[in-house]
Amino acid sequence: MKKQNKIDLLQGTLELLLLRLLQTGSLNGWDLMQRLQLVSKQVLSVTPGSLYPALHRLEARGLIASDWGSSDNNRRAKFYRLTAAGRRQLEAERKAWERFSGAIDLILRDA
Amino acid sequence: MFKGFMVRLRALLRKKQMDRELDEEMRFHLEHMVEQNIAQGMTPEHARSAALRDFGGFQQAKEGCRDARGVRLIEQTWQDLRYGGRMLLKKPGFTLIALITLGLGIGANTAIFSFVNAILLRPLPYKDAERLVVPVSVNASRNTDDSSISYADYLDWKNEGVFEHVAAISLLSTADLTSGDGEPERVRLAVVSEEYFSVMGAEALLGRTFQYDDYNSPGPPRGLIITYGLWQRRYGGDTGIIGQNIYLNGRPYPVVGVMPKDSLWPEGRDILVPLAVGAKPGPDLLRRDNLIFSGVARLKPGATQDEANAALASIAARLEQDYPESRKGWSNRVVSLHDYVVGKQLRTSLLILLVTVGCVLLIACVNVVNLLLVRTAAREREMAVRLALGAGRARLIRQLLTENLLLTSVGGGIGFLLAIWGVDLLKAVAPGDTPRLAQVHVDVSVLVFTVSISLLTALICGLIPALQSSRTNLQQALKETSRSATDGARSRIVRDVLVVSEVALSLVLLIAAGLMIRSFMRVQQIDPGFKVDRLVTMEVYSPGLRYPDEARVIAFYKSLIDSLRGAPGVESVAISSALPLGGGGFYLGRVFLIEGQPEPPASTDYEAQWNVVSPGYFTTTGMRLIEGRDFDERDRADGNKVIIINETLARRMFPGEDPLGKRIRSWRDENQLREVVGVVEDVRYFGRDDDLRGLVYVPHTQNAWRSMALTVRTHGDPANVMSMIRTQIAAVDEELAVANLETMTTILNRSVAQRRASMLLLVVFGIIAAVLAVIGIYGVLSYTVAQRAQEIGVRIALGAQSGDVLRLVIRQGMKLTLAGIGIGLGTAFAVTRLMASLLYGVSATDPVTFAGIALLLAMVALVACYIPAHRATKVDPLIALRYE
Repeated sequence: MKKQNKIDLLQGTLELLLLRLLQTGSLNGWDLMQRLQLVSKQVLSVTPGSLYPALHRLEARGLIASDWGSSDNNRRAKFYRLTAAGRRQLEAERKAWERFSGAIDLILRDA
Repeated sequence: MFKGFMVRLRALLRKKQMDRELDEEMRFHLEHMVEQNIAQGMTPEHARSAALRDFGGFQQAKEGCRDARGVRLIEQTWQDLRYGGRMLLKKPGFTLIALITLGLGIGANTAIFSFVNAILLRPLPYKDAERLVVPVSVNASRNTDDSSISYADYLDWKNEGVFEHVAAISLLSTADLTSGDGEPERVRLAVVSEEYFSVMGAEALLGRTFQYDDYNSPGPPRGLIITYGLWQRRYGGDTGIIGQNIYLNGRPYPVVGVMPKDSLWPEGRDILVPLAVGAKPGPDLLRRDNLIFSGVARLKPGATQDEANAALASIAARLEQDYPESRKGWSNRVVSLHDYVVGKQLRTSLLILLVTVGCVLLIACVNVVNLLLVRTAAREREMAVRLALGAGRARLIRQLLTENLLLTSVGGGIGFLLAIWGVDLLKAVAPGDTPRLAQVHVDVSVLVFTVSISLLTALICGLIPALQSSRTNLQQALKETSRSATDGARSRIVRDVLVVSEVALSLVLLIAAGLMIRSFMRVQQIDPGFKVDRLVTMEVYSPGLRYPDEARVIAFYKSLIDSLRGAPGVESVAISSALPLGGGGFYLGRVFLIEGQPEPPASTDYEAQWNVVSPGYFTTTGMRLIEGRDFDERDRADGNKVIIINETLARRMFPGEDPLGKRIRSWRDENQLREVVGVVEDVRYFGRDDDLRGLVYVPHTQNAWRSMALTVRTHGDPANVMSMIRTQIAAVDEELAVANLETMTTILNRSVAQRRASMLLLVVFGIIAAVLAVIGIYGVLSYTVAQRAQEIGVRIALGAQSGDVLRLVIRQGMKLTLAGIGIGLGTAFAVTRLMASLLYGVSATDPVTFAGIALLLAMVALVACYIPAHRATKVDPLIALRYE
């Protein structure tokens, strides 16, 4: 795996990204990790040591739910999906993030 | 959010399954990484190790997930509890001692708190009871500060609007009730003035309360109100009682109302009568020195007791000016009803008891702390290993505190159960007239108290050992040697200080108990002044309906005495208006003047209690006539007025002279000159520990009171005679109620009941405290001997004899004991003066008690030292030397 240009993600941001990634369907942990790298064009990556605790945290908060199913190679894996509360949280946090990053932009550009 | 809760719940309950799933999830990911590596061309082993490395810590990831579930705290606490439970079960000896110690300490506190809660803390059951006060009369020179008031006082306060409502109550009356279930019964009346029901804020359960007409119509009362207790007891709770007649002293009165339970003060009254004074109260009623009423008032909303006190004091000052002969030296103040009901002595006793059991609990805590210190020293290795593995200090402390919480919770539970049993026991032995005794229960507030002190105890007991052990020096602890390094100077000092303090504390308690015992013994030695055994007493009343004039009253009592005198088992019979030792009857204090003395009396030395008696009273009770004669047939209603006085009064009124033949009169009351015909020995009048006071006796034929107490001396056991007496009295007059039929021995015991109860309690707690302290000494010494086993072995190997070893160990134990006793003596000296009001005939710093108790404790401690010392002499030097 390439290690350059990987930015360590803060915990809260990671949870936001995971919620977004799950918006389109249910995925297991491995898929999530791959998808994150893919969609961010290899800029962002995360270790299992951060990913799985984040997933379990989200589950304890009731924002995602898990089911056991079989993966593409027919092995048992734990799949996660968004709950209704999760969807609402995602919207709220997305708005908050946009406000936040917009403010950073403004300052960086014009301050 | 519910979903999240379910997840967490599952995490708690299905831990194993969750862990398996977690493991599977992680492995799935790991396998993918390995496959990816293999696909990139690595060898299988290389692929696996690279995957593990890139994974970033397999176990850490799992730990992170477990943490993320958010139930860590609960899981860990549960873990600690189970571990703690296992530890406790492994050392049953330690656990048992600790539990017993805690159980006793917490149980004693809970029991006493039940009393304090019910009597001192819980408000009285009346409406807005904090606004209720009792206005009383105060006279510094007579040493009274809670005496009754006069009717004139009540009128003044009512007219000046000092209170929102104020009422005067006369509690002196009783009457014979003949209707309803049961034999004729002497019932207690409360004659209440207008506004009484407004003061109490009480409404009738059935019928009505007194109205304007009840208080202001002339003639006998138009109706009476009965209280809940009487209604249930004699009328079976009959709801049709309103309008029916009840018969008091032979006369019918309709019942107009029934009051609900616990709605009125004073409690224990059976029937309420309206005080119908009318427009023109009689001169006797208005006399300002006739203090025969109890007052009760409700403060104005927002007013304080101080404001009421100021108002009463200024009125009293004005009265002192306007009416000097009757008001000189008198003032008034208010006491809160709660304080009045409980009384100063009971409050003091209860608070002293609370402090005492608090001390017992402290001692118990000290013992448990010492036990824990010993145990944590033994667990040092375990703590060191945990610290080395990365447990934070906070985590360790939390674990130890949780274990202690388990211990004190179980101890607290045991204590609570002990207290339930203890409270029942205490209620049975407490003096029957203790106010609010019936309301003492172990209830929810007591439970809250128990839980609170259990938590507090856990904190106190657990904190020191927990802090101690988490500060473990890792290096030393992990070495192979098991000779504990924490037996350093610091922890030994802590242990020694604790033991010394518990010895000191228990000594203070024992001394307090010892002082109480001596007081009680002194009181038991007081000669009541007459022969108490085989004496039966009771009270009767000859009602006006059947005995309309004096002659008939006199004749009635004469026939009563005659018929009883002839009865089997009876040695002698007499009547008196009041009984000694506070046994009942009507107590009346009067002030006397010697013939020829000017009015008013110069001092209060010639105050005496007035007693009306029949001839033969002194022989019946066993009182000695020192001079002169008893009353006899000469002393008729129309004859020379005579009086007999007691030694004390004779000494005061006629020092150095012969009182016989002199004449005295009671000033303003009766005010008739009477010739002294006899001097009789003193008796203890209001109780066994009463001071000696002036007493006078006049013959019943010359002062024919209707309400008299009967005294009967029996040949054999009084109990056998009591029912026969009832029958005899019924034969003379079947409508007569016999009240308070009991033996003088019962009365004698009752007069010291509160003293006895306080003493017993202090003794019990003092002994518990001392036992705990001695166990503490024993524990510390045992541990020391175990610690110094090697050293002792060396000494024996080098030639030390048993005696030397004994001396070595005992000296250490006695050093602690004597230090504790020294501090305890000093503390007791400073502190026992607080209980001086409870003592009799013994000073609060009585040296005999102090020295005796100190010696006793030292000897018991010596025995406790001997046992471990003896064990020390049995140390086998070879084993000790080899022991690493």
